[in-house]
Amino acid sequence: MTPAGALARAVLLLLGGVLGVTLAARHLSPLPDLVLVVVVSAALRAGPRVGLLTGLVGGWLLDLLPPGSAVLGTQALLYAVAGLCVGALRRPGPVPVVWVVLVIAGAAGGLELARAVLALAQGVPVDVVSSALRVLATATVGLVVVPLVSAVERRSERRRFA
Amino acid sequence: MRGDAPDRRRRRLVTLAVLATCALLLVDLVGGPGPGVLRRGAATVLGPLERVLAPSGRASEDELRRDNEDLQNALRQAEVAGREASELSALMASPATAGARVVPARVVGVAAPGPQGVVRLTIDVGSRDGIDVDRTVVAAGGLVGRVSSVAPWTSDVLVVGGPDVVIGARVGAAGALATVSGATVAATDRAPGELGLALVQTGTLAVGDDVRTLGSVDGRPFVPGVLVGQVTAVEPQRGRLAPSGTVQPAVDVGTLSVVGVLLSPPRATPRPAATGGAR
Repeated sequence: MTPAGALARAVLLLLGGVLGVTLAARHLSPLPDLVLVVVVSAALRAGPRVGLLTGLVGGWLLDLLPPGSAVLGTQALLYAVAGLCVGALRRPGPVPVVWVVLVIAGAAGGLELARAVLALAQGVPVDVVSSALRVLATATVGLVVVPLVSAVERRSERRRFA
Repeated sequence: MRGDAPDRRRRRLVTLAVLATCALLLVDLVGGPGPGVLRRGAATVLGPLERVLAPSGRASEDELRRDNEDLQNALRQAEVAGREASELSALMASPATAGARVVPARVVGVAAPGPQGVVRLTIDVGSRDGIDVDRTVVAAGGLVGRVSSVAPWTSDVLVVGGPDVVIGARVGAAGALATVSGATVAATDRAPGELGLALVQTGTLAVGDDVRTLGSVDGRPFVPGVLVGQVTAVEPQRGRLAPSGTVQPAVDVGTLSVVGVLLSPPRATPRPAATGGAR
């Protein structure tokens, strides 16, 4: 990962995090998880370690971006594990879009499941339908955003060697 | 296989970052001081960004004249402003704010919504507006939650129904004492968005009863008499001493845009004693 690529990813994560929080304040629903899309894109492109690191940074952003999470570090660890797992699924060479969408849906489903378990452990009821819709929205947005994010990352990395 | 030196260094850094995250998570779980400072710092830096991007009724007049697209944009913003103005007047006229000093605020951020729904949100007033922690937050319909942390320009609110909010309440005309929180009734027995309620001792609980806040010392975190919701179901007692049930919150947090923070001053003078039976 080049410094320019890392910077591009950090900017994309910040954009995804801030958009997620402010769009939620406009009561748009179901909202896609834009941070997860960036994490999955990085993990599929650069492997498990970069996936873990991007997930950790993206999760910390969600933990700290007001109103943040109840316990700091929860989202960081969840997204780090998601990035690590997705990075392990990296395939060499060009990958079909269907595979990318399936991976995003799987990662989003895993995150929703983990959050549901945490919520139930704290005695808060969960809404399965809204979770399923959010997974669907994230996968659909991923279909458009992942090629864009990859293009931004490729360009920022290529510029270094130009 | 051993990697080269930069690779090892990178691996060590990643491990260190994960360990630091785990350590901070543990410190926050046990209520240590570090995460609070981190949270306040992040809110000071990122809060203004959210305030800028929040839905707003303000529009620049120069832009309005440019073209039709801008006019439509202005119309949409005017609609938002009108809606906010009507919500604000409803808030100021509601019984929840009667006689109280209220700081009106807009919801500018909602935490990444998980399967548990909205449990935390950010409002656009902070310590510079006189807000401090453990203040009651209300909307026109009733109770929203309490302020959990404050930055100069924004504050975070824990919403009723979240795992961290427990409310002392009075139920029905008789005013039976109860607690309203997540842990009082099993999550599987409630629909998403509903609250659990348990009376503290034997009493009557009926569907349709109003649930109001009991109130705390100096009105923090909750002032008395604010509507929390209505009882929607009463559980069979199943060997428990006190009855329990579920409550439909008076405020739909999913559609909230204008709220008020109640600033109740602490009692400063001793209360005079009165003579019983005097007319």
